[in-house]
Order: sequence, then C-alpha cells, then structure tokens
Amino acid sequence: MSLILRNVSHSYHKGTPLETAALRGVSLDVEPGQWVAVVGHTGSGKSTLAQHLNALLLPDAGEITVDGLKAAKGSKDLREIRRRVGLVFQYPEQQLFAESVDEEMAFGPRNWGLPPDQIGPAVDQALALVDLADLPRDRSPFALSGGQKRRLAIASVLSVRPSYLVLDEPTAGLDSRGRRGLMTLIDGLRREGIAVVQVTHDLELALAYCDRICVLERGRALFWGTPQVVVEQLLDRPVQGLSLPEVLAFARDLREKGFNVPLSWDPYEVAHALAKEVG
Amino acid sequence: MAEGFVSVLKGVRFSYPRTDTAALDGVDLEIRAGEWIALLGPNGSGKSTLAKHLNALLAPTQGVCLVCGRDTRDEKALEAIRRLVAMVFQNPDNQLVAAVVEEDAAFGPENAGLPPEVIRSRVDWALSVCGLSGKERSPVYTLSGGQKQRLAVAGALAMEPPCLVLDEATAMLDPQGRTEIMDVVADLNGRGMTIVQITHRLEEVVSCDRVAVIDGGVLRWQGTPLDLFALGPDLLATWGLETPPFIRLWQELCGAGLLDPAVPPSPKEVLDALCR
Ligand SMILES: Nc1ncnc2c1ncn2[C@@H]1O[C@H](COP(=O)(O)OP(=O)(O)OP(=O)(O)O)[C@@H](O)[C@H]1O
Ligand SMILES: Nc1ncnc2c1ncn2[C@@H]1O[C@H](COP(=O)(O)OP(=O)(O)OP(=O)(O)O)[C@@H](O)[C@H]1O
Ligand SMILES: [Mg+2]
Ligand SMILES: [Mg+2]
Repeated sequence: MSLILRNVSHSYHKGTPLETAALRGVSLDVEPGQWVAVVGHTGSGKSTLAQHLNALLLPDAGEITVDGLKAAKGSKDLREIRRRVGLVFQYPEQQLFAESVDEEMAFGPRNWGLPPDQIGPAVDQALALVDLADLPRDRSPFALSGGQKRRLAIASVLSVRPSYLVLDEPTAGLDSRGRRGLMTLIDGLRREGIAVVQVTHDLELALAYCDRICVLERGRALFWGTPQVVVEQLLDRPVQGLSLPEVLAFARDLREKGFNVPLSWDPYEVAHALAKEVG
Repeated sequence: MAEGFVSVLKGVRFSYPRTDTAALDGVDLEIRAGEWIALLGPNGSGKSTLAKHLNALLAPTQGVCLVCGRDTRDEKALEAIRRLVAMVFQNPDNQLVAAVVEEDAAFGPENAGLPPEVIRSRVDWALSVCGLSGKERSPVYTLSGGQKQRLAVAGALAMEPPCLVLDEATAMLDPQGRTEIMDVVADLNGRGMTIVQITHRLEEVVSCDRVAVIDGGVLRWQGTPLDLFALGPDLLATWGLETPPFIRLWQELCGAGLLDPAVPPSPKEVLDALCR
C-alpha cells in the first residue's frame, strides 16, 4: 500500500515548438501516514508532479502506481486512483465551480457514491475542520475572500476522505492561524494513516513538520530525504530559487564566526545556545 | 514620481450585495505620498475589499474614498484614478488578459496611449526584473502558477503608477523570487512610488514604514512594524498574526541583554553587533 513513482518524465506539447520538459526521471515513494513536502523554484515541475499523483496528467515515460493500481494511458484504474488520491489545486479558482458553498461541498461525496444520509454530516465535518463552519452555505464560492476560497477548496477534497491527499501550495493565502490549523489537521490525518504530499515554498514549515522533503530543480528530484538530511545538502549546495530559512542561515553565519550554536531553524534554540556562548 | 499622491478613506463602510455583515465597517485611513504601508489581518477581514476601494473597483456604501482629491464614486474620475493606482490581484488569472506574455505586460501602457517605443522599453524592463526574460513570446496558459504571478506584477510595473497596490502578489513565488520582486518594489518606493502591500508573511513587512491591522472590517491598530511585534504574540494572535522567526530570535537576544535593541533586526546587522 503506497504511492510509487519510478523515473517519471513528462513534457508538455511534445513534438511541437512549445515542447517543455517539466519532469525528468523523478522517483519517489509515499507510504501511508507519511507527510512529504515538495519544494523547488518557480517552474521546477511541482504542480506537474502533483497532477501526476492523481492521474490527472499521465507520464510520458516511467511508472506510477497507487496501491498497485497503474496510472498509465489506457489503464482501467484511473477512476479508482482519482478516488483514492485527492488533489487540491494551486489556485482555488482552478477547482471551485459550483453555484453555492453547499453544492461545492456535496459534489465530491455524491460523485463518489457516499450514501445520501452521510453527505450532510461529511460536509459539516469537513467545513468545521478548516474553520468555515459559520460560512453562509448559499454563498457563491467565488464571493469569498482569498483565504476562504483556499479553505473551501481544501474542505471539498477532505469531504471525500481520500487515502492520499495532495495539496499544491495549501498555505498560500492562509493567515497564520489557518496555517497552523492546517498543519495540525494534516498531522491528525497522517495519524489515521493518510499520506500527504504538500507542494510548498515554505521551507520553514516543511522542515518543521514533514517526514520527507523532495527538492525539485528543473524537473529533476535533486534531493530526497528527511529534513535533517536535506538541510545538510542545502547547506552544501545552493539550489535555484530556494533560500535557507533566515534563522538557519544566521546560525550558519554565526558558526563561521566561531560561535558554537546548532544548525537549527528554531529561534529559541539558537538564542539559548548564543546566550551560553556570550553570557 | 509621486509628489502629492494621497488617498483618504473617511468613514468607509462597504457591504457586498446579498450579505448581512459589512466587509468594511467605518474605516478611516490616509495613505501618504511615497510611503510603504502594509495592510495586515486575518482571512476575511476586509483587506482585499479595502484595496479595491483604492483604485475605484469598489465604491463605499457609506463614507468617502478620495484618490488625489478625486471621489472614487465619480465615474468621470475612474480613468484618472486607475492610472494613479495600479493593482496586482490575489489571483493572477483575474487580471491576465492577453494570450501571449509580452502582450499582457503591454496591455496597461497601451491603454494609456503611450508611444510604442516607450511601451517596448517598459515591457522589456518589467519582464526582466520579474524574471520572465526569454518567456516574452510564450502563451500565457503555458506558465506555471508562480510565472503567472510574476507576469501580473510585471503588467502593473509597466504602468509605472504613482501608487502600486500588491494584494498577496508574491504568495506563489519561491523565496528568491519573492526577494527579487520585493527588492524591485523597495527600489521604486525609494524613488517615490507609494506602495500598499497586503501579505500574510510578516517577514515581508519588517522594513516598511507603517502597518495597519484590520479585523472584522475595522482598523484595529496602526504603527511601525517593530512596534507591532513589540505588542507580543498573544495580542498578535487575536488578529491572526504571528511574529516571524528571525524577529523572535532578535527579541530573545534583546530581552537577554545580549543585543542592543537599537540594532535593527536584520541578520547582517545583528551578526556584526554580536561580533563586536
Ligand atoms: N464578492 C463577494 N460577495 C460577498 N461577500 C464577499 C465577496 N468578496 C468578499 N466577501 C466577504 O467580505 C469579507 C472580506 O473579504 P476580503 O476579500 O476583503 O477579505 P481579506 O481580508 O482580503 O481576506 P483574505 O486574507 O482571505 O484574502 C469576507 O467575509 C468575505 O467573505
Ligand atoms: N499547460 C502547459 N503547457 C506548456 N507548458 C507548461 C504547462 N504547464 C506548465 N508548463 C511548463 O512546465 C514547467 C513546470 O511547470 P509547473 O507548473 O509544474 O511548475 P511549478 O514548479 O508548479 O511552478 P510554480 O512554483 O511557479 O507553481 C514550467 O516551465 C512551465 O512553464
Ligand atoms: Mg505550481
Ligand atoms: Mg484578500
């Protein structure tokens, strides 16, 4: 039971002047209960990768399997893969379509055959999870603030209870309470055995919360490992578009000046080590 | 560039059609020439609604909004107001209008009736500072999420407006891209452009002149970024705000007497001070 990518490549507009190689030989495994972050520069292939995980895009070369189901052209498993893997798009407007919040939320559960008497409770629960319980249900999904749209897009995918959750920049546009709330929510989901793949530009969050990090550069998986391992690699070799969290970069500079502080991104840890050094 | 640009909101109340609560509930705010002001607040607090008042996309239900003395309810003033204030929306898809990258960036200057050679040089400059050189002829639909956001910023920059409103305009950018764009914005501000910035990333507002906190459609607090952080994490949390990690480190060091609070909270300055 896992999501496996082996040497996956994808080009847009193959064989035309617009041909762009977006993924080049990417391999990774996502196990149940794992929380994986995908980071990388603008245009590095993160959204393309995310859309492969639920078979919205299919690889030109390489293999993708979800719990043994094949994501390939002509495979009869595609619908089942899309049920198991829920995708929240980078911009909520790519996803929202219905006339009202209620319609938006009920679509998924109905589409995947949840019994009618369970749809209402599933919708209520999902909206509560993203702090939208008080939203007027007859409001158009487009007549919401940016952060409210983001929360609604996340809730509508949660309501179908996927076994794998793929989130493309889910914290963009969320206030800090929403960001923390989402982290707590994901942590709870992984404890239930749900695997989460989160595309993010927030390296600080990825380091603090995720089990594994995949660093993409120009369509290639440059680094893949635990936060500690990826931090060491990032300190060793700069990656296009990424900068180290400010506190971590500061700790590195302190060490270069001879201060004995840990290579940490936690402000209190660095401050306390510094107090011992200077005080 | 922006001598005399000023925008004044007086008792602005605004309700969207078919809603019970006001999205803005009596806002008084003055945006002064050449300043860099950040609007902060939780999701749904009214930031984008306020921003849309600044370039007359929305007009107050009650109260007035004046841009350089022009009432935003005056339809005859709309064109002038839109030239004074350029806006980058939260979602770039709401603003990209052309099929090809360079045509999109040229849309604003063309509408303003500028000569072709001026348009050309502004578009080249804007695309290059936004990291889109080489993509001039690419169809807009082939852009990644972050590339679209860069294009939306480039289009606004190409108008060289006296006032630029950025509504979470860097939310989809990688950290280096965000720094690059904010450096360009800081440079323009240094040359007199008024900047109104909406963001949920408080590390972006450390060097702005003034922050205004809005919650429930009401202006709750105004002051400098450092005074805001000094209010403490509990009060900030009630507005959905969180102190950025490096500021927390700086506060810890000042609190422990290891650092003179007069040292600005920038990694470079703090490092220099500690080495002294
Ligand atoms: N078109 C609309 N119709 C009805 N209500 C709206 C509309 N747009 C926004 N609202 C409501 O107005 C309030 C303020 O929204 P606004 O978009 O100004 O918030 P915001 O501070 O920009 O939030 P965010 O940080 O989530 O972008 C919210 O309660 C929102 O639901
Ligand atoms: N529909 C498309 N047609 C052609 N090229 C595309 C298309 N979508 C994306 N691309 C290109 O593929 C590459 C990877 O794009 P992708 O959207 O996966 O990047 P990303 O890592 O998600 O970037 P961002 O952080 O900006 O969202 C980019 O060079 C982009 O221009
Ligand atoms: Mg993307
Ligand atoms: Mg907004």
